[in-house]
Amino acid sequence: MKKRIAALIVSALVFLSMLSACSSSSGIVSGSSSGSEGTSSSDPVSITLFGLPVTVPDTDPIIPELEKRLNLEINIESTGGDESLLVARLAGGDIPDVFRVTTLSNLSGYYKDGVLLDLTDYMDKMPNVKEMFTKQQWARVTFDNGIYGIPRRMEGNYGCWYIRYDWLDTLGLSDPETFDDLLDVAIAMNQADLDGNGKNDTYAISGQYGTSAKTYGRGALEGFWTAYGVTGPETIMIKDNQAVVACTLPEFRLAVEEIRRFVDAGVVDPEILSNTGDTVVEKMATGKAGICYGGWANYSKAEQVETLTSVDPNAQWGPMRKNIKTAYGEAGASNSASGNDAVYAINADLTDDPEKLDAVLELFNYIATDECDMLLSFGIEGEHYKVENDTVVKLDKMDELTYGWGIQFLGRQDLLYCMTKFANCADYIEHCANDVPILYHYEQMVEQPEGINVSDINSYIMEQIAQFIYGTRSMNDWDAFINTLYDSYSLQTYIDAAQETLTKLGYID
Amino acid sequence: MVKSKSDRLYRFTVAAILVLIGLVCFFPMLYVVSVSLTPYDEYLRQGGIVLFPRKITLEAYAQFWKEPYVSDCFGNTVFITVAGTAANIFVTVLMAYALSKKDLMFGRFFTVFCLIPLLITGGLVPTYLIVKNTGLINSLAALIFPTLVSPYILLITRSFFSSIDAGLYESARIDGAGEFRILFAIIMPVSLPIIATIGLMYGVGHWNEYFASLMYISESSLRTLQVVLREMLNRASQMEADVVVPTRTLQMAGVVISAVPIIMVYPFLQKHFTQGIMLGAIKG
Repeated sequence: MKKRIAALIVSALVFLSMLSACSSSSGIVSGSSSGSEGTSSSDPVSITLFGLPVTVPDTDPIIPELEKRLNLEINIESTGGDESLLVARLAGGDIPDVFRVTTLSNLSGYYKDGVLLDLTDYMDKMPNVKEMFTKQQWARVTFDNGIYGIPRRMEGNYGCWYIRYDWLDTLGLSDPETFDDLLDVAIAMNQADLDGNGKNDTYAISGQYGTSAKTYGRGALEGFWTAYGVTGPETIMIKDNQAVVACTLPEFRLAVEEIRRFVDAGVVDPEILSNTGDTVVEKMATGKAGICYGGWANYSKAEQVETLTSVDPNAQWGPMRKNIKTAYGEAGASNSASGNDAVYAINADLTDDPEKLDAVLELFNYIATDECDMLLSFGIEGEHYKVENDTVVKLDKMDELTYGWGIQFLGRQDLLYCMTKFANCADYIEHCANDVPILYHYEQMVEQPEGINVSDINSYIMEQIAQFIYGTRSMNDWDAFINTLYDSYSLQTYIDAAQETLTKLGYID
Repeated sequence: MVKSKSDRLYRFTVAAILVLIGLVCFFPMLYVVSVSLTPYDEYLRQGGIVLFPRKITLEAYAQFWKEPYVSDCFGNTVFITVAGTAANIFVTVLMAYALSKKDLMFGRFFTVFCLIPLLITGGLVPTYLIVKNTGLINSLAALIFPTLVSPYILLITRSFFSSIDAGLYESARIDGAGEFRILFAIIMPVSLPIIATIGLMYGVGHWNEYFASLMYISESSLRTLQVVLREMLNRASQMEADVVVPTRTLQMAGVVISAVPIIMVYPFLQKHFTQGIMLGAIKG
């Protein structure tokens, strides 16, 4: 019997030691998100910022500097932009102090769940934040007259068509100004074996197929849509003072027929639907593409130029110098009228902890100052940048801050940021910002109406447009496609909701 | 025995098909390793198809290792694989041994109770709440204890123990051994095939741990390698001015580092696997 008891105790001890080894070696992190930790007035208040889209390295000097300036302890919790963990934490009542919400639709859901703090009564404590955003941007985060999130500043346009100018020169062709010109260039690139590999493997036009609204660029076909005066297929535009879904417009059908002309000529990469950022660059570098819709941030940074010229050192990629025109518009870019999707929201329970709530409000108010903007955008003065003649000059160490965009909680002064950080791309940045016409779309401001699943509508539209483009569905079915949207997906309800919202916001008279 | 022509043809065809299947399985692994060892410009020059690298560099591996927290996360994955698997085997063997006893009081009830999770899982939020309320959030323990026993593996182990000749137990008991002595000194040594099998099943699960890490760990240095790998691969489709898109060679280096260590374990356990299968066949 004694042996049995001894064996039982030994095995239990082994098991328990494993448990303790496990937790001690892993170091259970304290800093519960909502615990006040009994701070005295001189102790730093602990705040958790949850759901950052990027991993902040432990060598980061910016957040510690922010903590020092405001006497705060900021716990950054990154999720790579994945919101499933936030959903579990909200459902479990383990609500972070401040959290990043990636879509308006999710924000609306959390508002209905009652987990978001109504900021209306606290706006006077954040005067800088209040001033930073327009009425429309605030409207995005307003539900039933309450403000439930802090928006983010809009980024500029980075997107435009890029073309291989060395090929254009070799072919003796000039910059295309119409789609007929572009088709001639594409066919010439397709047939001339300009990469000299003896294979007919140059498709001319490539890029990524946009599947979700981005602040710049919607992928390979952006130039076609905008040239016909429309934005991406599933986006909401304002046309003749009416809210419309872009693909229901007659001009959109013309744009699809235009793309079909290019596909039928065999000059469009058949892998556009599956391309990712790196595969497009590989195709550009290896001579499989000569025209790509992207932008300076994709193709003109030093390391990208190095990649694009690694196979052919004579390769010269640059933005198209002339915008292609049609009777309906000019090829350019489309942007969301309200800026980036993601906003920050504050835990409603912080009203029970006034000290922490004040610290959070003070933090955001400080983030909205020029002083903090410099810190979050460029790092620490003297270390990452210096100011000469009122101009920010980048120092070498600024290149280490590649994660900086993830901690620019309220966005940034985009043009200044890009021109400073990517000074070697200055010409391209200015071209995209000033010379490329921009069309705006508005769907991010529209709350999903009851009984409608906007994601389903978007998926259906994107799938069908892909089929029309590649000819697996006949253009004769176009009207049936539009009718399905209205009959099976209740598109009119969605459009009515958009009309109401955009009227309320002053976009529609 | 003289083999007929048709026999030889049959064997040749079977061997050819198996070799073909082997090549189909081997090709992606060869491609991944070759690309990871090739300089990126050389990879591009070869049009993205590299089966045997002409030039070899470890630059992509060095670059992957420099990604934020990769070394920490690699260590975490190794830790949960080793410690987690040891804990899994220990508890599973204890439970399976007890449940294999025909004279266990309420044995049938406990068996059915343990098998319920095979059909009904706890659900995301309730499981999260349990992990949270037991204080495991943001600790590696959260990646070990919620999955300490897999009902499926418990069932396999229990069946194995049940199939061991009753005479072995009786002779040990006659010699005065208690249950723990019987389990650890008699049964465990003859159960190496099943322990190797369940160890590999648990080990692979821990090594590939992704979702639990995503759900329970928000501290960057405590995540698993698979989460870091996924975050890096996601960068290829992010559209931010600052984002440096990982090159294909870097992506493949990440895949190799994330997959090869666990693949290397297989040959060492192959012998036990075969024994386990043979035992099952004989006991049939």
